[in-house]
Amino acid sequence: MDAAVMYIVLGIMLFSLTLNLMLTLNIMRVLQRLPMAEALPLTPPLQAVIPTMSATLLHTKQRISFNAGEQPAVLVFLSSHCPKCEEKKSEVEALLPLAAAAELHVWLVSSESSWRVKRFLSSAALQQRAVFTRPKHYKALNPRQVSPFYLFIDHEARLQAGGTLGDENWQSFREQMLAIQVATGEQGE
Amino acid sequence: MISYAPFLAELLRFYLGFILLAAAWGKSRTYTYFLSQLTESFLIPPAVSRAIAPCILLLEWVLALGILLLNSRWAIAVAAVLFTLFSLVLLQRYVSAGAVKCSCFGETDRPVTDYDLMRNGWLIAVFLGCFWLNDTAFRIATPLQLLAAGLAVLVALITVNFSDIMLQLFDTAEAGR
Repeated sequence: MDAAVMYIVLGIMLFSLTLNLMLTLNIMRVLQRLPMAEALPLTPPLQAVIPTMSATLLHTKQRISFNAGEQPAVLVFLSSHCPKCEEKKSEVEALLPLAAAAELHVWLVSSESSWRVKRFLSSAALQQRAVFTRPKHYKALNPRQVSPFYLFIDHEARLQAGGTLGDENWQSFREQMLAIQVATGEQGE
Repeated sequence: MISYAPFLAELLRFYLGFILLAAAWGKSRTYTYFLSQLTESFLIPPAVSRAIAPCILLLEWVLALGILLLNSRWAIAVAAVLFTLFSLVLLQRYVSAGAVKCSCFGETDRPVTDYDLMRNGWLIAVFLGCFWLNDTAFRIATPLQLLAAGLAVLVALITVNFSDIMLQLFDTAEAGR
């Protein structure tokens, strides 16, 4: 076959391939702009038992399970990619000793890489509560992958509440914790 | 010299040229956003941003056209040095701040991902490859040259959208499972 024919054929194929790629990428962008994320529920179903999923503690690499203990737990989802989470760090840190006194687990759940989480959480107190889950489990707990986000799990591993950090439920939880602090403070006097 | 070296050299030259062209074009398209991100993500004061943003843009256009039209080795050298420096700054910002927006190729409301940094690493390697093949004065037939340019457009398109493509391939696929 003549070389010129080859060039023409290759040229046309290259052109169509490029066009195809551009169109595909365009469709991808259009799809991303559609509010599909809204279709996902914000939290797993309320009152449902959170299935067993293992997580790894950041500092000891020890494996834990969110629903193994008899203790209720608060799962907090912060991400190093969200500017709002930066502000919420101190609020969560202040609650840690109170929650511990109330026999409540607080886990900072993440699926990011460990060095990034370490850097982001900066304080040792927060780092001690940091756990990693696999992305699959992270998405099961936090379907829309929003942050800052929280879930309250009771002693039977049932989901009691969940939402963005700072909403009504979170505020009342915070007030309860602070009230406990005041009460124990009075007892001590 | 290996027989395909001239073709490969042309391919890499066109490839880098088109990448720069895409960067210049993308930034021009979203100029105000690019300007705001210089301040927000790269911590450059607004007054300085307004001064250097047109310079960055102009430089990118000149380098892209210099590589594509004039086959200037100097343009490739300058682009390689600047691109490497910029990638290092981007890496530093990414590691320390986490959420950095770049608008490198005119993408808006999307933070820089690991894939973007991988892409930048790959491009630095291509720059090096381009220098390695550089010594021969290559002269290839015009049809072959056009073919190299066509292939370069295709690969450049994939490179520019690398992060989106990888996210689509792996992360979204995982979410569906």
